[in-house]
Amino acid sequence: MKYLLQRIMLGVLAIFLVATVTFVLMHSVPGDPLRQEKAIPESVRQNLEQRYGLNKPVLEQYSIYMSRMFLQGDFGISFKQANRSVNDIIRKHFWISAVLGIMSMTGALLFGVALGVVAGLNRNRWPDYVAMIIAVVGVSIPSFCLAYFVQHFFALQLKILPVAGWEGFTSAILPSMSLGMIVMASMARLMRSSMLDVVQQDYVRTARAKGLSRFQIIFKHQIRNAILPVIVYFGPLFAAITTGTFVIENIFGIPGLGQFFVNSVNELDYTVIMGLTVFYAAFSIVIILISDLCYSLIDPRIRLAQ
Amino acid sequence: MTPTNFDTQKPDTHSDKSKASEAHGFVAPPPGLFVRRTIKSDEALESIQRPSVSYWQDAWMRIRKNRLAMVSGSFILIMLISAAVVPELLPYKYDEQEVWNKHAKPSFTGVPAVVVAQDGVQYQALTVDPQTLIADPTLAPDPTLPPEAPTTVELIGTSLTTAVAFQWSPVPGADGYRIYRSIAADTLGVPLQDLSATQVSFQDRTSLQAGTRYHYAVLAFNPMGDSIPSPLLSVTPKLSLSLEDAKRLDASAVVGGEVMTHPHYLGTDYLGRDLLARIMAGARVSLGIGLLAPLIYILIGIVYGCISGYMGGTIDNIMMRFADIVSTVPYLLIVIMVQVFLGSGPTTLILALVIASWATSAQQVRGEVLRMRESEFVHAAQVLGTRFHKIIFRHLLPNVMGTVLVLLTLSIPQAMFAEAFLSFIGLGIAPPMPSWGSVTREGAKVFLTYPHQLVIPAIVMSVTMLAFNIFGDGLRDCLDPKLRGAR
Repeated sequence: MKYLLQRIMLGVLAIFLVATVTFVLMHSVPGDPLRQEKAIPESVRQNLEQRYGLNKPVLEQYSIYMSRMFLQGDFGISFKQANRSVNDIIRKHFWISAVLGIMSMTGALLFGVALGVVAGLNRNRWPDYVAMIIAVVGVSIPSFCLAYFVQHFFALQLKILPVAGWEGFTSAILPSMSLGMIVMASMARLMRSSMLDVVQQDYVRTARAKGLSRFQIIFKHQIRNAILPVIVYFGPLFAAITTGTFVIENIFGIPGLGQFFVNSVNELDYTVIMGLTVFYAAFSIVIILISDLCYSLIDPRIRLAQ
Repeated sequence: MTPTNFDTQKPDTHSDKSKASEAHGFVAPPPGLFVRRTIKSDEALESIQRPSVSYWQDAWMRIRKNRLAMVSGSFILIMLISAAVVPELLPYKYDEQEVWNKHAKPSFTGVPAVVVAQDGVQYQALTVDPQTLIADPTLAPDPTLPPEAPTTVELIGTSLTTAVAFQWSPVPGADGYRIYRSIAADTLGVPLQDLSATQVSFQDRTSLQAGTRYHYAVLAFNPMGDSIPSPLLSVTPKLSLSLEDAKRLDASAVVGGEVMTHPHYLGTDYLGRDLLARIMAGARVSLGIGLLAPLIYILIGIVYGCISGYMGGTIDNIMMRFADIVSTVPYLLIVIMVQVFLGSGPTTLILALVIASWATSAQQVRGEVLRMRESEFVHAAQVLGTRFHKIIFRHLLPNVMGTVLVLLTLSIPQAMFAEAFLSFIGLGIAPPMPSWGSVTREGAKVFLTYPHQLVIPAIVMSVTMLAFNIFGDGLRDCLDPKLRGAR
């Protein structure tokens, strides 16, 4: 419990620091979001500055921004998209990125664990080699290249899946595949080495001596124990994948959160950059915390306090 | 000569003695062949020893047996050497454009090109008087119908990429002619120009692609409408260069002569830049970032991790909490922030990657140091009163080196991937400087029409990352003490 509190405090501190650093960086970048191609009259500019609170001293802007964000959960209004609040952007578009992330992670976990188990059970025989070739190649192909290739092959050549868009389950298959390949490959490698560890354990020998069937030994004793170290990596990978979807969303024309982030960076849209940065950081911190907690729940041998 | 074992025996004395003994018809064993050994103890006799090797010699022996890792290692070496050498050997630079040669296919031979004058090929337009065509009233066309199509279309001279000239038979009653050009024989393609009825020839001066087949058609028209298309004129124009372009290939080029173009082994991109030159120049950037960034952040990680791990207590706690916070921030955010602040370029990318990744390597090094700190040899050193820095440099660091080396090789593909990813979304290297990410990005734009422009850089990038991954795996297998004696 003390550990949990400590972790949460640390998480909040991390978010606070990220927000501060982002704020400082944003305000020291040359240029500002109100500058447009056409010069605007001084009076209009003053009105705009007043509306967005840009005429106040930087320290006051900072305290207003931080108190709004931490006390009310309000990230402010976008500079570039008139009257659109950052909260609204996150609410409308984040779930698309999240669904994509969850789909690719589920696929990656299922196939990765299956590959790893097959490889671990057939050490140094051909299924092991095949699985490990898939795993090493999967780690080495950049996701954006893979995205173009699967799009070309499955959607344009075979015409069995939609080329792009975000309508229904079938349109999510190709993006999840290209996004999840690297995760799948690293899961397969982890699972294999952890299966190799487990196979030598005493409880497996005991189970075999008891006369359990091969199926029961593999599923109830080996996989259950071998999957534990894999779960540790699951949280960080999930956070990385949900934040790293921009290219894939771009290639497959998916209206996720990634495009807002990159566009806001290019347009210097202060509030959107800061809001999304803090949101992403908070999200990944929460996910990593949850995965650590799950880990200790699943495996009682692990004591969180360490 | 005091032989204690066979190795010290000198071969020259041996041969002398055997010659001498042959002369007597009796083969005496040369002295030194049999040696009386003094055995110190039973133990020395019984024990089976292998030559003592150091940790690194042992690692080298192991990795030499791992054929896949050796192949990968040599591939990486070849890649590094060619990244350094190939751009210097190629006759063109990565940003040199050949505007006449966009989207060229890979080829090992140059193409002969005709050199033409700066203002193109001299051409005299052919004209007719439309009135003379209908001098015979019986031949006068029906003014309520569209005109007939021209019956013949003929090429004038040779077809060149800078100029294709042709003439056609005049049509009575036509108010003008419209020229179409297409790359497919079954469609008319794009209308190029409308001509008056007096002109019955045309020169296409738009720069065409050498080696592509073009189909020209002429339609006559009047206020009633268009005729059906004339018979197609199909030409495959020969490459022609202006004198200025030709001089860059061959200084002695003259108008009317021929020059050979440079071969483009991997083709050219959408601006007519050589793909091989771009990939190799990109390798300098990508491999440079991929090697330098991990080297720097792992060095920082070593220093930070060693201090934190060895000091322990409050200092360790504070240092590690700070690293925790840094490592929870998604790396893409840090990279984009630095990018926004400093603008794009290789230095920015390296800096961004270092800021984003040093904390993770510090955590790993610290874990390793903690493990080492509790081992007997460190305790022994402490008991003997060894000073702090000596323990770190003589005892901890050499033992952490194996883990660090593995960490380094496996970080390189990650850093290369990060660079490629950022250049791909347009936040990395600024054009015209190529990196593997930006070359694939440019290839991806024309993937459907010219697949090789994406496939080739993607393969080069993937194979290099594959090589680093396999080499890193092999290195871990041979350096990891846990696997000692496993095989």
